[in-house]
Amino acid sequence: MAILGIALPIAASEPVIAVECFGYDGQCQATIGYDEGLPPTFAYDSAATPTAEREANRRAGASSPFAKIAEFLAAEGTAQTATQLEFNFANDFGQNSGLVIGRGADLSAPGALGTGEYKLGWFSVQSTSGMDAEWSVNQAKLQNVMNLNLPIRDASSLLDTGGFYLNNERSMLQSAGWNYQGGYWVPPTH
Amino acid sequence: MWEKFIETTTRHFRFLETELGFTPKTAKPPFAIYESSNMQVLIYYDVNGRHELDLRVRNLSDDPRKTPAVGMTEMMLLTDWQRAEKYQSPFPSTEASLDIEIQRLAELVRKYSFAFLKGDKDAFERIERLRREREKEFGAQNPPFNRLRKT
Repeated sequence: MAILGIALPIAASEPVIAVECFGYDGQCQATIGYDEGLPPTFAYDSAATPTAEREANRRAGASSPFAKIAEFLAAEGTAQTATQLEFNFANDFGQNSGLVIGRGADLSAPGALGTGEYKLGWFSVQSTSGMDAEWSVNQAKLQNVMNLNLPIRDASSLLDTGGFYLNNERSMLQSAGWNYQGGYWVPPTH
Repeated sequence: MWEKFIETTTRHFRFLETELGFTPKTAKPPFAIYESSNMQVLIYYDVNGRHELDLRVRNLSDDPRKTPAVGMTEMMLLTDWQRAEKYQSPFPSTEASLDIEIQRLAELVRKYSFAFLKGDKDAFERIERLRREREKEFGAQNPPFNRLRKT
């Protein structure tokens, strides 16, 4: 942090403290993890940090994901077949960020990523600093790409709610007004 | 840890071979893979990262970029949506917890996944319908931007 000159702690929840620098207009964050008995960890990312409002939205959005699906299942015998949505992403948007989000198993499967596509990656801090610290890094990485305002592909089924990090990523995108269309998350102003 | 994963997976998922005709394929991180004539089971363990344990079933003929493989939550959803709603992938990081979680995962597969493992078309079609419903639901939550055309 000495290189950045000035830094302020913005959030501290055991065992992690997040520090935002203002030399770069709040667009960078360092996460320092400490767990007694384990070596300290340090992670850095050049993306914005979460706000309390976004965090509240994220948590609110995570409740009862299958309420409507349960209704559909109950009426499945009599319901008409769901309308197929016709959508050609390439024709409608042309350009995307190249980022693909999804469950780890989907992103790691052979052939999961196409030419020019990538997934977020970093040295995991989960085992040393916990899931909240890991999510802080994940969130900053995703925010960094969201700032590009270009569509992000989602490689997993929307019915798959079994992943802590993907659930949070989807909630983060929804809270920021992004729309899911034909396998992509599309920014509101795109 | 990877060796422990393979040993435990081989033990708890032996029923894939003995009861359903799957064959284990070469395993390398992060997957232990089983295949039948038309189906593939991918047992995922992120041994070098978060230690997440997960499982996928897919038709071998499906393009992974067009049709996501079916996960545990979806397979549970068809018979017990309330349990599916609560299901979260575990992150076992010790040998003891890995053994417990692989056994748990195998029990869930036994209970909820046989139709998928047998390649039952009806089960996969039901999942497709639910996926479309879910997509419509997501679209309805953020309606201002919509370029979708309905057939």
